[in-house]
Order: sequence, then structure tokens, then C-alpha cells
Amino acid sequence: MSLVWTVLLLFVAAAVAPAIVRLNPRAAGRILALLPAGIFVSLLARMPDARDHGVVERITWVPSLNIEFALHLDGLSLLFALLICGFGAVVTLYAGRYLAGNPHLGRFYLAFLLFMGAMLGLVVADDLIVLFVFWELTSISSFLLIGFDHEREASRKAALQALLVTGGGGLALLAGLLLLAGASGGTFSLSEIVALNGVVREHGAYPAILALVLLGAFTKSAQFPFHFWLPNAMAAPTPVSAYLHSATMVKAGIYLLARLDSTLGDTIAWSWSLSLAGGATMLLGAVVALRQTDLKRILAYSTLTALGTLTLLLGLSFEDSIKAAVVFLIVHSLYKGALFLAAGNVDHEAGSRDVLTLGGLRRALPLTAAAAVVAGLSMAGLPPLFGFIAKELTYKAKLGFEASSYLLPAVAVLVNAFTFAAAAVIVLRTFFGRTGKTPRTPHEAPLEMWLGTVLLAGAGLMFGVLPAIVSDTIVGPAVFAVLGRPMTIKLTLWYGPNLALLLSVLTVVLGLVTYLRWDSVRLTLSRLDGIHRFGAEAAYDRLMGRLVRTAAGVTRLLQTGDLRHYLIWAVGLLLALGAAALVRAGGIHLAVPAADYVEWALALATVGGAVGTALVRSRVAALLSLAVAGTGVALFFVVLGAPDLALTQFLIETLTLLLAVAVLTRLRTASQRGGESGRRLVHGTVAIMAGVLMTLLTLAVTSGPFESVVADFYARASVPSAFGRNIVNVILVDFRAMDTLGEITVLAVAAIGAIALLRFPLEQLPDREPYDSLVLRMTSRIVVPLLLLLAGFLLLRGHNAPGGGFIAGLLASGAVVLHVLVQGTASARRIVRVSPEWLLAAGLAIAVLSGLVAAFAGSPFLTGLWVSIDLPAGLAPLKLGTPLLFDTGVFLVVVGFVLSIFLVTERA
Amino acid sequence: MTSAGVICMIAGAFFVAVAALGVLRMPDLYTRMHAATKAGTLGAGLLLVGAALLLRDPWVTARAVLTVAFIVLTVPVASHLIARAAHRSTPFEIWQGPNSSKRGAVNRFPQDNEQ
Repeated sequence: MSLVWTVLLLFVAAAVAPAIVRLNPRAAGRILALLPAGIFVSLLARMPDARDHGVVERITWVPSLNIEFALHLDGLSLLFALLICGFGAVVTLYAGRYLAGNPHLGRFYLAFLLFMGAMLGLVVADDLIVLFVFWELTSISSFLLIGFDHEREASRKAALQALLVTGGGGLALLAGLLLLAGASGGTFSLSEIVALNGVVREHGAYPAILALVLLGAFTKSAQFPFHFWLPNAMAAPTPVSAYLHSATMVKAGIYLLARLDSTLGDTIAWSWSLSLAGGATMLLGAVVALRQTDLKRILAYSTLTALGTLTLLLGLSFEDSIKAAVVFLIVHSLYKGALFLAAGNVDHEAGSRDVLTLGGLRRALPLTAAAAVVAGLSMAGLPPLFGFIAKELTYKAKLGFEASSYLLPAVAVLVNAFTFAAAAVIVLRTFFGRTGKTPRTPHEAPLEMWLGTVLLAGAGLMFGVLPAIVSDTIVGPAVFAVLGRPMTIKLTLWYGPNLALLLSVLTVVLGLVTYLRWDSVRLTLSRLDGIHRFGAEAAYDRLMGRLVRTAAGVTRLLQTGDLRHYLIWAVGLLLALGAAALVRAGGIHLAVPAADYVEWALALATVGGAVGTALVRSRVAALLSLAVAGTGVALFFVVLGAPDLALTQFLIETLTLLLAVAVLTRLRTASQRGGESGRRLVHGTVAIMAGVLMTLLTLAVTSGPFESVVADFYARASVPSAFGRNIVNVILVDFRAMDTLGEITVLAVAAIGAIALLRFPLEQLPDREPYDSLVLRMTSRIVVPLLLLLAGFLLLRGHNAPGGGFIAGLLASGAVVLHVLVQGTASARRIVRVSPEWLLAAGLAIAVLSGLVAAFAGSPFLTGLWVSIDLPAGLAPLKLGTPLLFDTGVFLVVVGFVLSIFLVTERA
Repeated sequence: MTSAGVICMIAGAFFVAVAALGVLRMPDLYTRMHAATKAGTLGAGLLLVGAALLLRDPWVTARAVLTVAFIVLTVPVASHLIARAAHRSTPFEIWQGPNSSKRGAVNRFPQDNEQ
């Protein structure tokens, strides 16, 4: 099975998961777990492929940008892929029982499998952009899973926090990856970049790349100071915590660091950043874990310790440390997963996760307890478990890094001792000692739930006793992939008496002492709780608080709810931009164009209308004056020989007037305009300045030489290539149909927005009654059908004479508006049976369909195709074409638009 | 034909001019409305007929006839509505003649509920 299909299959599974849950909620977990289990087995079968440099699969994606959908399976990818799928199968099975009966189980599996697919894609991605896409997908699915219990505020807050922290890091990562690609000669291929073997280190952008990539990795892997989101993410259901927040997602940053170790690593900046961040995280996690009493929070902080350790080891960046990191990664996933699932069992069966109330659960949950003991021993780093090997290797790496410094080993001993104590707290306090009082009477968890715990803990034991199983098959290829050179891996429980063993003994002693005095340690630590006020999370909270306050302030400033303010802002900005354009052009050459007496008369009428609008006090009179100005402009279009523009302008004027008057009569505002003179002064100034600016711009444009190349082209090409004599319409529906499609889409979206905004507040309005003039009602019965007929006529002839879908649409909607105003809302509702939304949808669908016809015929989308139908003698052949269909779509969208705006206010 | 067209055009222009004068000079809303309606129906109608007669294109003639029909259909309705609105909004003034002593007086009509 190819990698692409493997990843795709998980996304498909995510899509069908809700359906499976609906069909059989009880067996859904068992069914869905088969997929990751199958992938796990198929990956095991592909183990030989992953040796050496592995295999790459490429699918062309964006060739113009050099981006490929490339996936790559090598030792490192395989290690992570095995963890993701093996662990994924176990947790999928587990969650089916853990969340049994939850009404949102389908949604859970959707997000969970989405995450699994994204995570798998992330670790096998060979293209930086593909990697980034999957990286972000894991952040998003993690957001959904942490916020799964979305009715609790804590969950929502934690989900948002995790998303903002990891998503913010993701943005930095994107920038870093783009710079990295640039520094590697423009390739996005990870395997090619790794093969360059550190050329990037010499590049000038190296510091920026390093900082940005580390920001991405540190936020994802919860390194100090971005660690705070991880403990909060424990708001997620336990299977999610076990899977995402200990075994997989938080390791994505570790994966990236390991992957880029040979490219970016082995510099002083790399070593110091990773060691400091990793060391701080490790120490912080170990100390704070001892302060906690909630099982999941103890585990979360000890996960921080593990992530810090991994980062530190990768930062040391030499053979022993890489080997230790790979082994520790496996160990940690196994024991932490087992313990998380055990904690889930305890929570599920006993109803509490507080180690202070729990105790003696080994009698009620024997299998869970056994698994937890084994996993706990691994966490504590005791032989004969795999955890012991990992700890020995870690010590060896830290001792070997810089023999002269004892700080590193000393810190490591301290951290490991605390981890030992934490493991002891988790296992002994929960399963041993006197039986605590729990909210529920505990009994063993069902098979699906203890199986995973036992399997993971058992694997830790098996790898410890027989490390040869993993040393050559998994650890070796992974270390090879990181280092880029082969290395013999020999794992054993007994390396002979050496300094590392001595440190281990010291660790156990210290750990035991810490555990025995845990209660007082915890109390001491709890006295330091106040320190949180200075921590990273408090900084995050302050930042978010400030962000919200700033946003509220800006909203109050701009979103006043007063249309006049919006207009002032918009026109003011236009003024500033226009003025800037004029200044940049260095002044303009003004030439007042020659005009005959008709034009002067029209200009006078238009100006008169505008002045009247500003001066009259009655609102209706102001609207009428405005219509005078608009009609003057329309007459200008007639005089200048632009019938299409003129028709449109006339119809728009009429419709605007109708709509405005209709709204005025519906909303009970004062019929007289008032307002302080100060405000009128501001409005007048802005309006006059806008008018002056537009005049200047128009004069500037028209006084320059007129370049008619484009106009000439359309005039020449219109009839031969588009079979239309009306150039305006031909441009709209053929030459630039794509633009028109965009415009009608915007219209449709705006109309839907208006519907959404207005429908609810206007629901209280009564229906409009029929107008009580018999003469008017009877006339409208004749006039409205005539207008609709005329609209159809204008639509059909539009390609060759003034008209077209836009004009016809305005006319038809005008007719409907007239009908509503005269005959009342109820009558209109009886006649217009489709809602405006349907008109919008149908119009868009027809327009797209008319373009697809050409696409199916092999021409580019929206190419005009024509058929000629011969009519009986004496009549010109009838020409029908897809542009006419397209124009019909435009017509419907325009009608839908006007009707949504109007009918929503009329509730029809 | 041509002379008929010219006569129509001149008559149409005359009616529009007189209507404009009427709107300016007539003393109250009803009389002004009466003048304005004449401009619409008679004035524009005759101008359209004149254009049809002069151009002698069947396509133009058809459109002129349709437009005249439309004007004749709608303009009286518009003036009816204006008159109705004026009639219903009280108080309103009606002109009583040039020598009336009641010039400018306010007459109250009962609110009628004609349907």
C-alpha cells in the first residue's frame, strides 16, 4: 500500500466515522481500530524499505512553485509512523468504551482520525509545505479534541490556548521553512535539504531560520516558556491526552528537530537553545509534577520532563545523544501511554483522579494495576525494563558531552530522581496502600480498556529484556536517518560497571527519599504557587486580555452602528488615497472639456438635485432630489451614447428610490431631518471634498491622451469571436465572464449576509397591507406582467442591443417590488413562491454550469459556445449560446439580490 | 406624412412648454398636477407619434406605440395617486378663484374612506 493511500485512508475513515458510530455505536471503536492496526502491520512489513535513505513517493501538486505532494519513509519516519498507528489502534479501541454512550462519539472519532491522518502525514512528508499543512492540521484537530467537552468553559479556554500557542508557532515555522527552502537553493524537498548536509548553516539567513523553526518546534512540543498549554490540555478526554499530548502530537516538534538536526544542528546557537529550553522544561516539569495530586496533571508535567529531555539530547547533537533520544522517545511513549490509559481506567471506574483520595485499587483493577506497575518501573528507570536502558543511555550521553562539566549530569540525576518519585506516587498511591473512599465502587475496566494498557506496558518489558528486537529494526534506521551515517546500535541492560550505573544508583536513592517525604515536598512546593503570577501563562493571559480590550476599543471606535460614521470612514479613506495619488502624480493638467448647451443643462439639473438633497429638510424630498441628480447622470450617459449604462442608471435610481421610500414608510423615523449644525458641517465638508476630488480625478484622467487599444480590440473582436454587437454585454458575459462570475458571487454573498442580519430583527413587523387605491391595484395587475415581459425581452436581446441579464434583472425585480408595495406582502408571497436564496443559488449554479459546458467540450472554462438553429424562411437563424445561459444566471442573481434586500424588510 | 409628423412634434413641444409654465404659474396642487399630467400624456405622446411618423421604421413605430400605450396607462394613475395623497392629508388648501375673498383660506374636508 502506497504512503499516499495510507494517509488518505485515515482521512476517509475520519469522514465516515460519524456514520459508523450512528450505525453501531457499541462496535464503532472496534471497527475503526482495525484501520490503524492494519496500517501498523503494513508498516512493519515495509520495514526493509525504510533502511538507508528510504523510499520517496511524489505527486505533482503546484509545479509552478516547485511544490510536490511528496511522502518519504525512512527510519525516523517509520519510528514515528509505527508509534502513531500502533498507539492509534490501541487508543481508538480504548476510546470506544471510555466514551461509550457519549452523544458526540461520532464527532470525537472524526477529529481523532483526522488527527491521526494528519500526524502520519506530518512524519512522512518530504515536502516542507506538505509538512506544514499537516502540522497545522494536527493543531486544528488537537483544538477540536481538547475542546471536545465544549460545554465546559475550562475546555474551551484550554483548547483556544493550545491552538493560539501552537498555531502562532506554526506561523513562525512557515516563515522558517520558506527561508530554509530559499537557503537550500529553492527546493522544498526535505530529503534533498537533508542531503545538502548543513550548507544552510553557512547561509546568512541561518539565525533567522533557526529562530523561526525552533519557535515552531518549541511551541508544538511545549518547551519552556511555551509549556503552559500542555497541562491545561488535560481538559481533553483521557484517550486524547494519552495519544496527542504524550505520545504523538507533542512529539511533532521533537520529530522536526530530529529531522533537521543534520541540517541546522551542531552549531553553538543550536546546542545552547535546545539545551537551555530542554533543560528548563525538564527541570520545571519534574519539580511541578511533585506539586500535583491529579493523576493526569502529574503525567502531564512528567511529559514536559520527557519532552525537555528529548530536546536537550537533540541539542547535544552527537551520536550517543541521538541514540539516547531515539530510545528514550520509544520508552516514553510506551510507559506514558500505558500510565495515561491506566489513569483513564481509574478515573472511569473509580470516579476520581486525585491520588490523595485513591488507594488500594490493585484489588479492584488487578490487570490495570499490573500494567501500571510495569509501566511505572519503566518510568522510574529500573531494570529490567526498557526505561532503564534509556536512562543509562541518557546518562552516558550527558556524561560524554562535556566531561569537564558536571552541571548537566547533576541536573539529570535530580530530574530523574523526581521522575522516579512521580512514578512511585502514581503507582503506589493509586494501587497500593489502604483503600480510599472513591465516588464509585471500582471494578476492573472492560477488555478494550485494559488491553491497551497491558500491551503498551508489556512492550516496555519485552524491549527491556530483549532489546535486540528493536535495536536493529527500528532504533538503528532512525538514528541513521537523523545522523545521515550508519551507526552500530547495541542495546543491553548491562553495560558493565561505569559512571552511568553509579548515577542510576544515586537516582534511585534520591528518588526513594523524595517519594517517602512526598507529602512535605508537595506542601513546600504549594507555598510557591504565587510564583505563577510571574509565569509564562500569566503573561499569555495578560496578552490575551489586552488583545480583547484593544479589539473592543477599536470596535467601539469603528463599529458605532451609525451608517454615517461608516460612510465618513470609507469616504475619508478614499479621499486620503485619491489625494495621495494626485500628489504622487505631481499635480494634474486640467483641461475643462468642451460641452454643448444640452450637457450644461444636464449638469445644472444634476448639481441642482445634489444641492437640493443637502438642503431640504423632508426625508422624502431629499430622496427625490437625489433621484433628480441620478437621473441627470443617466441622461448624460444617453447624450454620450452609452445606452446600457443609461438603462442601468435609470433602473438603479428607480429601485433605490423605491427601496428607500419603502424602508422609510416601514421604519418609524422622523420624516424631518434634524441634527446639530456641527455634524452637518462635518458631513458637508467630507461630501464636498469627495466631490472635488472625484472631479479633479475625472478631469485628470480625461485630459490625458486616450489609449484606445483595448476598446478597439473589443470593437473588432466582438462580432467575429463572440457573435454579439452589444460590446458592453459581450464583455460582461463572454470576454470577461470570469470577472462577472466573481461579481455575482459577491452579490449573492452580500444578499445572504443581508438576509442573515435583517431577518431576525424584522420578524416583528406586520405584513404590508394592499394599497387602498383600486385604480393603482388594477393598473399594477397590467403593468407588472408587462414589465416582466419587457425584462425577458431585454434579457434575450442583450447580446446585440442594449439590455442583458443585469438590466433585465433590475427591471424584473423592480416589477416585483412594485407588486409588493401595491398588492401587499401576502399576495406577493402567494405569487413568488421561491425564496430569494433559491434565486441566488439557482443563478450562480446556472452561471457556473454554462461555463462548465465549455469545459466539458474541451475549451477553457466559460468559453462561449454557440449553436445556430435554422428557422422557417424569412426569419434569421436563431442563435443560442452558453453566454445567454450565463446571462440568465446573472439575471437570476440580480433578481435574487434585490428581492433579498427588499423582501427581507417586507418579510415576504 | 412628414408634415403630419412635424405638426405632431410641434404640438407635443407646445404641450410640454405649456405644462412647464402651468407647473410654475398654477395656484394650487390640483391645478399644477393637471398641467404636469398633460405634459406626460399629450406632450410626450405627441412627440413619440411625431417621431414614428418622421422616421417611418416599423421597429421604431412599434416601440413608439407601445411607449404611448404605457404612458397613457401609467401617468394618469400617478396623478390620481398624487391627488389622492393631497386630498387625504389635512389641512390642505384649494384655490377658490382669483377674486375670492377666501383666497388662501384653509378648507377642511371630511376624511373620506373611498375604496
